[in-house]
Amino acid sequence: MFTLKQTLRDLVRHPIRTLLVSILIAVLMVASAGIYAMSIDVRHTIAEIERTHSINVYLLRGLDQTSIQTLLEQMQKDEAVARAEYVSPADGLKKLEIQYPQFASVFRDLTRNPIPPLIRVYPISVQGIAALAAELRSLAGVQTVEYDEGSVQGMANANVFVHSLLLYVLVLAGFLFVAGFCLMAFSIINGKRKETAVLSVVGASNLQVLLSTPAHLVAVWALASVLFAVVLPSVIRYSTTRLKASFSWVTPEPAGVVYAGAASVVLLASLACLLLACVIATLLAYRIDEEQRREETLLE
Amino acid sequence: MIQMLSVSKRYDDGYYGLRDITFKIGPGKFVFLTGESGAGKSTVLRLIYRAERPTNGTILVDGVDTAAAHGRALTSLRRRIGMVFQDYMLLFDRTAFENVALPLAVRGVGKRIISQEVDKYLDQVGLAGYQHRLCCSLSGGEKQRVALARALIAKPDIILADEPTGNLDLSNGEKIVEVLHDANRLGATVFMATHDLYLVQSTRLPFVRLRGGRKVEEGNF
Repeated sequence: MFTLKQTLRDLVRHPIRTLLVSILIAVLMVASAGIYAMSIDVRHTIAEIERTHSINVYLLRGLDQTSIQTLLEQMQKDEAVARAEYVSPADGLKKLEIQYPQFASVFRDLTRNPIPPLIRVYPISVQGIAALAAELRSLAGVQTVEYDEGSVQGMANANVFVHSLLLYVLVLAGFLFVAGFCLMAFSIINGKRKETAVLSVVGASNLQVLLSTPAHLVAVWALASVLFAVVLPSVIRYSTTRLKASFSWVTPEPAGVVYAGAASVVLLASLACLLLACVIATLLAYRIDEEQRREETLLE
Repeated sequence: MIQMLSVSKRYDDGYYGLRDITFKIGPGKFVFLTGESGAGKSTVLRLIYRAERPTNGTILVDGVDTAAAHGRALTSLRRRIGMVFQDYMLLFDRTAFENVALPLAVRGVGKRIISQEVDKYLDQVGLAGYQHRLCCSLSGGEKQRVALARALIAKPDIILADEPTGNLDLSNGEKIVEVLHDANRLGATVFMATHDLYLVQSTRLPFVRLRGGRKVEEGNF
């Protein structure tokens, strides 16, 4: 009870210092969570872009509808396939007419539809597209398989680069977060050194002495967490809006999912840092008498 | 009663702060601990309130071996001792009231009683009306009197004062010693470290004299 009262009084006694430290910790938390949310958005966008790549599986002419349906179902069940759709020769011709309206009359005058039946297969990731294409080619009833190898390779390279960049940014953000948090915690611990020494002199119990600094750390962290929880939704909304503006065809992850993911990761990381800081503060409290003694010896 | 039996203190760097110190202070006595700077006065006091342990020997405070005191026993020992430091050891960002109230607050004493007691002790040290003054804005003498009020408020059996007049002018120093005498008259054992031999001589009270970490004299002027 004494520790709790002292901590609250301490926070109120220095409102600007308390607020500044809390805001700095909250900024570190929001920045890290923002970067984490951005990484979720980027990965989501890449996944959406990857899903636009497809494999055209041309079927043998004259294949009956039952066989086509069986093949389609077989492809849809494949774990590497996101979705598969059947394009009949008639639909294929219509699409050509729409795609090339200047040749519409030529397409209409054709006596026989030259387009073979087609199943368009969208893989989950471009990474395994070559293996999937080979697998599809081996299926009975398949005439040939085509996909844009150049585009797929470019996409795969870009994917590797973006993921490396994301990892680098996340590690850097994590390092800055831990360093910043520890710096704040160290400044609080340092500011409480004398109080810890005085408490032990005036007859405070071991628990009161040892809990004094950790209680202050927890209080500041709690305040920072509240600020973080209040500001983070705006950051995520902004990030989602920018994503929509840049890639209108991308459906962003629901804001709630991103918020929950980013908030839980950052809160867990900050809790781990807080725990570390509390352990250090408690260990230092044991040593403070000794440091005080050295100072007094110097004075003497 | 404070008893030191063949106490030595050797620091990690091999330096001996104290060598083979033995003396006894009976209950209710006022004893000076004197000697030049570096004689080991502060070390003796720190050993008594168990800021550190002796390398050899035994220190008994009312029969309790301070070196063996841990946890609650250590807290209980420190609660029987009021400390006054040369550099005050006050929390300067807090008011005189908050500093003086600290020993009672850590003991869980109620707000109303704390308020009454703080007023009483600040009055006793001549600082009535200083309750809401921040300690950083007080003069050296006032700070020392706040520290003294803090040491006295929990009515300790023993008061250890480490050069409490060291940073003060003569007038303020006399006031501090007078308050310590008052506490002694009320039954507290006072053990005061000072390098001021004139003060020791003028009071004609018992003293223990140290030099280079050894006891060189004990008695009365």
